[in-house]
Amino acid sequence: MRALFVTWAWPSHFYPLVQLAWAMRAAGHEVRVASQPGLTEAITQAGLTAAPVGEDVDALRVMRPFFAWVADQDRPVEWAELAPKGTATVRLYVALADAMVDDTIALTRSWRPDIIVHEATTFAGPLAAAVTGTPAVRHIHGVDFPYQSHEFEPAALARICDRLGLDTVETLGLATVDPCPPSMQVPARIRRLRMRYAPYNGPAVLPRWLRNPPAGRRICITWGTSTSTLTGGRMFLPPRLIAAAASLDAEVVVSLTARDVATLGQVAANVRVVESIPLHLLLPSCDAVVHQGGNGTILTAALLGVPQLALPQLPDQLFYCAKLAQTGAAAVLRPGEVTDQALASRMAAAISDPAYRLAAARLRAEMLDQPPATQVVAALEELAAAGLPAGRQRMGAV
Amino acid sequence: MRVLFATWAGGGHYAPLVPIGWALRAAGHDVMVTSHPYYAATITASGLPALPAGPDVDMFELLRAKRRGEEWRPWRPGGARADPPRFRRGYPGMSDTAEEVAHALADDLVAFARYWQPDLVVFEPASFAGPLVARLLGVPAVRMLWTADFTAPVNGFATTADSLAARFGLAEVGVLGDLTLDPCPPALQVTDDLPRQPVRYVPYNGPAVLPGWLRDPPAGRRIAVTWGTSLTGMGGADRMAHVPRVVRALAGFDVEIVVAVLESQRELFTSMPPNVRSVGPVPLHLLLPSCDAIIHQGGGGTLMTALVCGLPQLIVPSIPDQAFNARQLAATGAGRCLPSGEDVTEAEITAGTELILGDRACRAAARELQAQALALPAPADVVPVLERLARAGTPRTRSAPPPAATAVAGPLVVG
Repeated sequence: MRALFVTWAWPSHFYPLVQLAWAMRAAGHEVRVASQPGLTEAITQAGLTAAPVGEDVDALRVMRPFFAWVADQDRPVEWAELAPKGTATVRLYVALADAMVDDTIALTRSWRPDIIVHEATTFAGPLAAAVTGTPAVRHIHGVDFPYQSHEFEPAALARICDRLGLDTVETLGLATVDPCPPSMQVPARIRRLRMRYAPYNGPAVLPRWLRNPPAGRRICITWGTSTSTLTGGRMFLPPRLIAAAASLDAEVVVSLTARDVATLGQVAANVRVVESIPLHLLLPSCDAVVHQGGNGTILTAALLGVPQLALPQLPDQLFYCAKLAQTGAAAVLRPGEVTDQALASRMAAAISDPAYRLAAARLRAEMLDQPPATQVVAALEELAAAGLPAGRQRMGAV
Repeated sequence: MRVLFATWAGGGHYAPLVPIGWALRAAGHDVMVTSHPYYAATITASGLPALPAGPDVDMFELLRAKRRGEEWRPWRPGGARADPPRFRRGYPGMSDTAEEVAHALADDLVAFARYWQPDLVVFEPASFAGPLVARLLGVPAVRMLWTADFTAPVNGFATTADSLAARFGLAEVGVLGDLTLDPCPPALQVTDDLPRQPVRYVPYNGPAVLPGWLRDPPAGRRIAVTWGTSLTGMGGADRMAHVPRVVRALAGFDVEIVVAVLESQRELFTSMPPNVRSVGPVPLHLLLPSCDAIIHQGGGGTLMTALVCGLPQLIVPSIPDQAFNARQLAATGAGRCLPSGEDVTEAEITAGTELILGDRACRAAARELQAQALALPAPADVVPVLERLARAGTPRTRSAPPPAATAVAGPLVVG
């Protein structure tokens, strides 16, 4: 069968789709990934076929004022505080849908996929599915933060629906593919297809120094790919983390984007600074990882059974990390709690406290218990074969 | 489990391994693909992690030098080898080359494998470093074919990879592996008693962006002309000199011609008949579903991609493995094999094109071959076979030396 994956052009939203796309290809199905032109290289670098749709949108320009405001608060800004803003919380995603939807519909009409798999915040997917009568499945990349805004989405998309001749649109799909360990997930009224997480963190070359076991204990400090871009570097904690790690009896590996590395300057002798080594290659050699609370980092560390110290700052990161903390596999410091002393003591605990190690091993075991992507492929085959439920018949398909 | 892949640095060699790698990654296993350092970017562009090993060896320069009768040995452990390079032709010559390339990869790869402790090795037929590592660690080696099994006869040569085996204290390397993954429908394959596991061919032809003109169906019939990637590298322009003649012979047909060639090959096509739609790089798995037939050089990747798309094929081979592929395909009735490149005439091309475009039996044979190919188990379905093989180990006596003391790799296990 043919599966059209749809995502807006942001690598941390695309990477979680890669594993399922590979599973579809490995099962003999055809896969195309529709995204804005800016993601084309990331798609082809994952071995997948890119179908550019629409125009690039400057997401940073749209979101920077909000993140700058969050950065200035020095207190946790949580979803509960944002929820009253209603449709405004998905403004960026509506703008992205506007930019992508026409081409996505044209591509769906010409290629006629049997199923559309859309990243949870890419509404061009469900819109194209509704217009062409194609079954659609939603894909989330961890704790289901996007679900929190689902009640606002039909209203936020009303203008686009009107233009496309739709009464409304179902943004939750027929089912949701969920790679999050069940104990970390939030409840949602959806049909859930659980999937064992397998990390893809971008192009990966194993460096020579990672081909031998570390001499002693090793801790990894990473800051993801998005956070410092979004916040303009205001809340960039790695320099403080490196300083706080000086007291640890461990090798410190700092993995950052090239841009973030350039801001670091001189570091101590026990610190190795590297440019964005994919975490699934680096973390197996580490005793703990310190990070910004992004979904990809959380799940990669969780799968590998590595204890974590998370320092969430943005509303989605706070949301994920609240659930992560409950597993016992991670220490979490929130805005307002971050002091040099707290950083040092939590890092030491993450490395040596057996309670974290035990909880991390439990979380890993839970993740390995989830069905592999091959089983999700079988479920998607069934959904595609069943087509749409009565009352939502195909319309407008060429 | 952990699975180590080994490949020559060439598209036709590596691409067939990629969907097997995806299937294993999607099932939660760890995969690492090893080749020469300059090939790392090609490996990561398939989405899989790369392990650069040994010095860079320009495979095509090596083959060109060998053809010129010059020194072509890339590997110098502690200085030049005492024995002179061998200049044998045919199968023995091929295995000499593969053996030298394996020597270049071996030290780095063996050291890494002793640390990483793979449970299984997957290799393409020319990458002898794969079975070497498997033999040394006492784990199963799985050979993934490009297409019909051109290299199986190397089994008959007592000297195959003998210097490689001797250097590591082995009686033999076992270049055919313990199991062969075979993407060919039986009608296309040779008959022998090797243990074979059928696996569906899933086309991967490198980085792919869907061009605008391929988003709509063609107006009429369309024929693809492509000449792969290897011949240009191996022989320069003289290996491709006849291809514009092939295209010119199609001027009289009422079909749209798409010439899917590398950027570097584009300049060969100076004067084009008016029915040519496009000249330049197009990923074959995106182009061929829109085509009615294909003319090509007989490379394994092209042949298999056309086969799973159900296209009749006209093949004009230049080198021995292409001629072998072409004969195997012609025997199924799904196409025709023409005389080798330089000798082919326009009349032969015209007659062959009439056959692949118009002959009902030929089209039916192509569709039958496609149906057989698509009925084979998908790579995802073969993963449990590989898991069982890894658990069972190898039937050989585990005479390999114990892993080095540094080989503790507990936390690396995924899946």
